[in-house]
Amino acid sequence: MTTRPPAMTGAGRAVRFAIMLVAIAILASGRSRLAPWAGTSPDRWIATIFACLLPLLVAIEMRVQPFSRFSFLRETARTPMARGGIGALLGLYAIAILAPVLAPYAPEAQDLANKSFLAPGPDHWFGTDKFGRDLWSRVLYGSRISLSIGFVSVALSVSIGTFVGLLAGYYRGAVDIALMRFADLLLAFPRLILLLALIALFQPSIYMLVAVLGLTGWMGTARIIRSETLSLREREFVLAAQGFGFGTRRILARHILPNVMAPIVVAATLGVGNTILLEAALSFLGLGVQPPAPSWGNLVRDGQDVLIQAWWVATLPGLAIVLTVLAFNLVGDGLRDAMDPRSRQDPRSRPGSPIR
Amino acid sequence: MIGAPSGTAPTGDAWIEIENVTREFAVRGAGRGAGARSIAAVQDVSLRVARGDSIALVGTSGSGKSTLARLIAGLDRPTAGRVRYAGRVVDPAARDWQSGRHRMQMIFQDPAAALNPRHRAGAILAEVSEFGRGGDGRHASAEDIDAMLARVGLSPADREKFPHEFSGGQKQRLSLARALAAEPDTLLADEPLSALDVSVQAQILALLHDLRQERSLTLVFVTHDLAVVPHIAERLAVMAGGRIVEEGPVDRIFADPSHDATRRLLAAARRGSTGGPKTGIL
Repeated sequence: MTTRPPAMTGAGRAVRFAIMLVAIAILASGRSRLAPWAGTSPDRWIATIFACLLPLLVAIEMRVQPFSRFSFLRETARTPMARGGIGALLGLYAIAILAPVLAPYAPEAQDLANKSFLAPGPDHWFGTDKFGRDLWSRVLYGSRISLSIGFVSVALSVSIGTFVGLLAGYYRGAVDIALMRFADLLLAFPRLILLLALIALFQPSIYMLVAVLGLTGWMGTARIIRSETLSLREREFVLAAQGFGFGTRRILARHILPNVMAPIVVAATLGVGNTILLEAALSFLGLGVQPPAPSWGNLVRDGQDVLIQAWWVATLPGLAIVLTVLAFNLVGDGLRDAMDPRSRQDPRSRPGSPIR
Repeated sequence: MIGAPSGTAPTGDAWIEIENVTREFAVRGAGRGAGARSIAAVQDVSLRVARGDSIALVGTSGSGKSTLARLIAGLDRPTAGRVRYAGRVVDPAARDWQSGRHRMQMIFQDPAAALNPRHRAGAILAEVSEFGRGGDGRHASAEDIDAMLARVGLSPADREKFPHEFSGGQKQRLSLARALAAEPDTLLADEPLSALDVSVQAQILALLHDLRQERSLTLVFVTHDLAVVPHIAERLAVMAGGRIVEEGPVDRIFADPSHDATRRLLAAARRGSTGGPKTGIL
């Protein structure tokens, strides 16, 4: 990029620097065996990416929300529901990263003889399953798998959706028609059926799952970003940029993209909740994460046959799914309200919001 | 680098040359093909602006003056006819015009919409500064940016501010500074005062006037208010119904308007200047 990034104030620069350091530390230590999140997680680097995501998101947030530091977050946290959601998500994030520290047992440690189907109690908070594995530990580790699949595949789908939406909205005409009719075509398929068909063609693995979930979920984002871009491209600051003879890539990257970040963030937040649910459904059907890896969908599946004798095996992981998806939806709704100027006391406080 | 290249020299002394330009807009819901209806916002307009000249384009809303300004800037394409600027046909598809188009800068009516809300003032100026200083491609230093801000009456401290932190008049100053950073030879101002308070209008008008003198800019000033015209322009083109109905030196038209539309605009301007707030202008 040819232009300098906007200068930051001293405090802002320090905070941003600290966040980047934390992110780098997590990234670096994710590869070492000493790191608490290395552990027995089956897909270590997905967990590592996930661990880096939140600090990165906060850093991006600080860059694109310059109006006042964290005003965005404060605005979002205005209702108790959204506050609860944010709290739950931060807790979940901590649980996912610290799972090896918090889990009393290894998630795959079996004890068929002595511990099969123990009810929840002081030794096993969530009870045990058929193989005597500690359900609490499995739910903790499962959060890593479920959350990281959710995050990574949404990152993929939102990136694709943003790219497609920007192109369709900026070029209009034939490009718009081609891209958006293709999106309509994909939307016309029920997503779960599409996923089942795709997964049936390949060997199920976590990477496959992430790719397939990412590649089938971008259409909604593309639609939102397209309509935002359509209105932004007529704004005078975009015309002014054209008046300097700037290229399309530069106008899209520097002048339009930063102004559609708000709906992107909302779409991503709601998308993570959705994707976790889908992943659970796929795992429940046996087409998602393969056992013995403890994804939440797998855990529910393990419990379906023994729902009467051992209700906890399916119910407690199911509860984890419900709470997580609920938290994402609450935060997503909070973000959306925060970005809708009509719900604000001071309509001038976010002049950059493209949602008018 | 753009100054009248040989071979494509503008005919006569015209710097901006508008030849029989028409811009029609399809009427929504009127169908397509032979039966489609359309409205001509600009109809068969021809106009020449000499280099260094200052011309005001005046008309009521809907008279087509803003559409004409956008056609001159190449932000829109005429349905018929063509616009030449510095000897080149204004055409977004043409590379030689694209490479020189920053020499013509546009000032917009709403300064709040004309500045990217995500960029600080310093970044806004830095982004376009590569065109400045003889086009050396180097980026502006902090001192350069402070100088640009100072020229339009902003302070170095404003470098770190975002557009929404400025007042309306300051925003318009900032967009002027951005336009000037490209070292333009032509300024196209589309109602640059109408979003501003009257007292601020006078300041911006004075600034525009000084900058024009200082840099010998060619100026096209679009406005609906005839009262400001004598302060900024020597020539005047009155538009009504998509056509230029009267054109000539400001003094002559003010003394002896020949078209009804001009007379009405003059009457409106005079009403405004008798005891009204318009006396504050300059």
